[in-house]
Order: sequence, then C-alpha cells, then structure tokens
Amino acid sequence: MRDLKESGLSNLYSRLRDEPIDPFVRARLVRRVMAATLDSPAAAPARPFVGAWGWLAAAAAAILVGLGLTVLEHHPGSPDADPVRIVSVQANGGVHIRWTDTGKRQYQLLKSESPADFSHAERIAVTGTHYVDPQSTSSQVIYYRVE
Amino acid sequence: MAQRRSRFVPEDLPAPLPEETGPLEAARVVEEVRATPVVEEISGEAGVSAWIRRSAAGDRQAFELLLKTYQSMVLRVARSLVGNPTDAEDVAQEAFVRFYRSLARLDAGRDPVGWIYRLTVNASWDLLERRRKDRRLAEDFGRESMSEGRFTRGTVEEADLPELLRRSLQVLPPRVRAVFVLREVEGLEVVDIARTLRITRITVRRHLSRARQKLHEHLAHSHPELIDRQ
Repeated sequence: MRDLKESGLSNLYSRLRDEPIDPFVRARLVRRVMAATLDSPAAAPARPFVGAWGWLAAAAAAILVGLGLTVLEHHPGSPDADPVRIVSVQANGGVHIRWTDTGKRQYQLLKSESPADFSHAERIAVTGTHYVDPQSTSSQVIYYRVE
Repeated sequence: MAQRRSRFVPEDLPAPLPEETGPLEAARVVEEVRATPVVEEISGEAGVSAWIRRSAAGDRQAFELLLKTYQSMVLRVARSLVGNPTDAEDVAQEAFVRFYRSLARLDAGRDPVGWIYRLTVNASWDLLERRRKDRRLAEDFGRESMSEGRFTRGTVEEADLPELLRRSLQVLPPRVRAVFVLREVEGLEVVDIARTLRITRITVRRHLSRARQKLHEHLAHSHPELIDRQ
C-alpha cells in the first residue's frame, strides 16, 4: 500500500517538472529582476545605517517610466544613510519601494517631480512600502525622498 | 518511479538572506574576471563559475544569463509552493534579487543550484507568512476554491492536471510542502533536501511521509481516478 502510494504520487507530481513555463512570463521575470537589481550593485559594500538621533539623510529613487519598459534608477542622498531600496517591479510596470525600518521610527515618503525641491512634495506614505502606479504619473521621472 | 537527479548542494553556503550585500573583495574579483575568457552561454560548472564571478563584479549581462538559466526552475518551485502564478512571479523576483545580493559571497567554483533552491523556498515562506498575517491567504484561497468549478470532484482533463496538482499541494503545511516539492517535483535526494532546508534527513523523511499520506487522502477523495490510474 505504501509503495503504491509513493510511486503513484511520484509519477503524478513529477509531471510538474516538465511543464513548460510561458515565454512571456520568463521574459517579464527577467525584466523585473534586472530592473529591481539596478539600485543595488552586487559589488557595492554594505552601507551602515545612521542612528536614531540624527536626521535621516535624504535618499531618492528616480523612476523612469519608458514605453513598455520601466527603468529604475536609485540616487542615494548620502553614502552613510540609504534606506531606500526598490524591491519589486510589478507586471504592469508599477513599482514597489521599501525602505529600511530600524524599528525606532517610521519615515515619510515624499514624492516630487524635482530632485532639488521637496518643499511642495506630496506625502504619500508612512509605512514601509509604497506602490507606484505608472498610469497615475504625469511625468516620466518621479523622485522620492524618505525623511 | 521518476528518475532522481543528484544535485550539488553546498554545505557551507553564506549565512541566509542578508538585508544588504556584504563587503566584497572587488578588486580581486575584477582581476579574476578579466582573466576569464568570454563564453556565450553557460555550459557546465566552468561556465557557471565564470558567470557568477562576472555577475559579482557588476557584469549585468552575466547576471542576466544566470537569471535566464535558472528562472524556469525558480518559477516552477515558487508556483508549487505559493499556489498562484502572480505570487510565484513575485517570489521568483525576490529570490533572484537575494541571489544577486549574495553573489559575491557565493563560492564561484560551486554549483549555485542548492543556494537558489534555498532562496526560493525562503522567499516563498516569507510571502506565505505575510499572507497569513494579513489574513488574506485563507480568504483568497477560499474564494479561488469556490470559483474553481472545473476542479470539483470528478474527471480531470489532462490539460488541467498541473493546476489541479499544484492546488492540491496547498493542503500541506508550508514546510511539508517544500520538502515534497523538492523531492517529487524537483527530484532532489533526501540528503540534498536536508542540506538545502537545513533540517535533518529524519525530518525530511517524516515530512515526506506526512505529505504523501495527506495528498493521497485528498486526491483519493476528490479525484480517485488519479490514484487508480497510477
């Protein structure tokens, strides 16, 4: 009984091994991973996080939404404090942004169309993740700063 | 019985899942890469080693080739572990991002398959845990199950079989499911599963036995013809 059960299930589930993956899904995964790893070079040294007393140095992520292809660029404001990391590019071109949470404070994510002027920036989130819908943006470039 | 594939699974892999990439010996890696002849595609361990070194040194094309080489494997495992294709793509992306960040600490002379399996399983568990905390897993799965009329009890079309099998895996607890998928879908040996998941071989066998028992009961009830025709 046990052998029959084992061999029967093995034959059944081993079929999943040979199931082809949709080429469109594979191409989309390549695009998403390559975009998501643009902001963190494999050879970059780890950046220490600067502590609770100091203000958090600005970090910005610029998101370039091109025709059919989302390109992400990361522009850290300080080499010592860089909490922003783009973690996920959605299938529709949307972007998830997450930043380091030390557990001591939360950060506000500011959105601006200028990297130099955040005085009129829109405050869009106070938690660790924000989703950007490319359809909702008028500009091709969006700058983010975490404070 | 499906043929088992013995895979290399490193025992002394880097510590799991750092949030940030660790310090690298960049200059040494770059020099090694410069001395490595260019190859057009990954073939054998030498090819994998070269492309890992190139990727760790910042060669985006090399990383893309690694990505294309292992993406089907990662997508397949993720799909079986998390149950739906959208989540599987998110898991696959997260696994490859983690792989990218750990490249420099991975021994380039070793087959990265075991490490990639581990990253995929961990990313899947993380997603399932987030789902559990959000109390969305039960709702989503319940809603999908209710709407999956074609998987009601009865005859299964051959084309629907993979989806039905993946759905049936969701009756297993995540850790038991991971062991079963690595064994029966991926064809890993018990010892390789134990190394990949960092559990004992006894635990692997116990999980396998539990998974087979539960799946057999589940399928015998919902689609007995699948059991009978084996």
